[in-house]
Amino acid sequence: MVKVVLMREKQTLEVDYEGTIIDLLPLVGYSLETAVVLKNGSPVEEEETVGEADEVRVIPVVSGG
Amino acid sequence: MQQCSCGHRAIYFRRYSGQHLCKRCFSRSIFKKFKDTIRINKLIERDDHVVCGVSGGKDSLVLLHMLKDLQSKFQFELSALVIDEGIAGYRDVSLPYVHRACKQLGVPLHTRSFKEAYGYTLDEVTQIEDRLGACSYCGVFRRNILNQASREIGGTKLALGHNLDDESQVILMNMLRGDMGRFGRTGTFYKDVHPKFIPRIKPLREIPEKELVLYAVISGIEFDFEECPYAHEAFRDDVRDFLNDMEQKRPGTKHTLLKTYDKLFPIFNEQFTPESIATCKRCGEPSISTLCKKCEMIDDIKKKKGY
Repeated sequence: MVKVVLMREKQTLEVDYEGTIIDLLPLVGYSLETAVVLKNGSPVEEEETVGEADEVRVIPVVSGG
Repeated sequence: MQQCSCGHRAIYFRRYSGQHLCKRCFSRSIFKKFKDTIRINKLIERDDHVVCGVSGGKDSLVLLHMLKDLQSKFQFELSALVIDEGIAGYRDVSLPYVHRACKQLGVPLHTRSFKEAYGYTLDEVTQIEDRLGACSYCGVFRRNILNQASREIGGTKLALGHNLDDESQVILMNMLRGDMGRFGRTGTFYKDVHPKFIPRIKPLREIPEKELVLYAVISGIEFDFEECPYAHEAFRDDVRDFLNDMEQKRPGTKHTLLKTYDKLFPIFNEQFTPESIATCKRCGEPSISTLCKKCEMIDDIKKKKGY
């Protein structure tokens, strides 16, 4: 299980997933252009893979107005 | 795992340039883009008084931090200005971020509100019937206060946090709407059209929104993630989605759109921007017609509210 923390929605999801961050993002309603991702607390390239016991924080790109 | 050209572990892949960047090289590249935009377009000159419009969001707080850093390179004065539109549950949440940042950086902060300036909060304005979109009032009111307050503070430039996404969206929106008047006003410089008009500068206009978020996270700049509750304007959302989709398929799309616009800008500006601007007969602010848009809107709101 990957723990996905959606920062704006203030939601934590447990996602059964093993693969790249790029392909994970659409599963939680985001894309490469609309999210900045922290893997276990640090920014990483989205080509990196995540899997069991990883935590992914999703920070929305669009905010303000 | 990819490496940065300096040998450190890459944390960001900049698809439009093909670079893998480590934290340090990424942050340096962002600051360099900001500095180059200012230098090449002569946005700030020695002894300018730059008033930075801040909202508590990432763009304006990154801009404020960068301007503060730039002060160590050459002499100019820096103030911050925040507008409280009166949006419950949104602006009251972001204001503390502004206060904290200004205190931490030692930048004097000035506050203005719609309520004080016009008698209504934005929330109150949106309660009237048969009204325009909230962003129409807010845009006009905010521009009016930003200009007036910047002048009162003694500002010679008004710095705003518009990023590459904002700029490319507005260019495409004006083009799709055929709004030639506005089309000639998204460039790097403004003609000196009115003695009361404080020139606006946008030092972040070549930096993608996503990179500003990453820069804020890496630099430890705390900002508000919230979106304005009134922000969902259908047309802008469509244009944003289209540009994001294109950028993902063809990295560099947003930059190319801005660069194309900038090359054509001198022609648009010459053709479609009036040589001089009138003065509002009531409030004395720069205006397209004899009564400015802000005063016109206030009249309409008063009539509909009955006070």
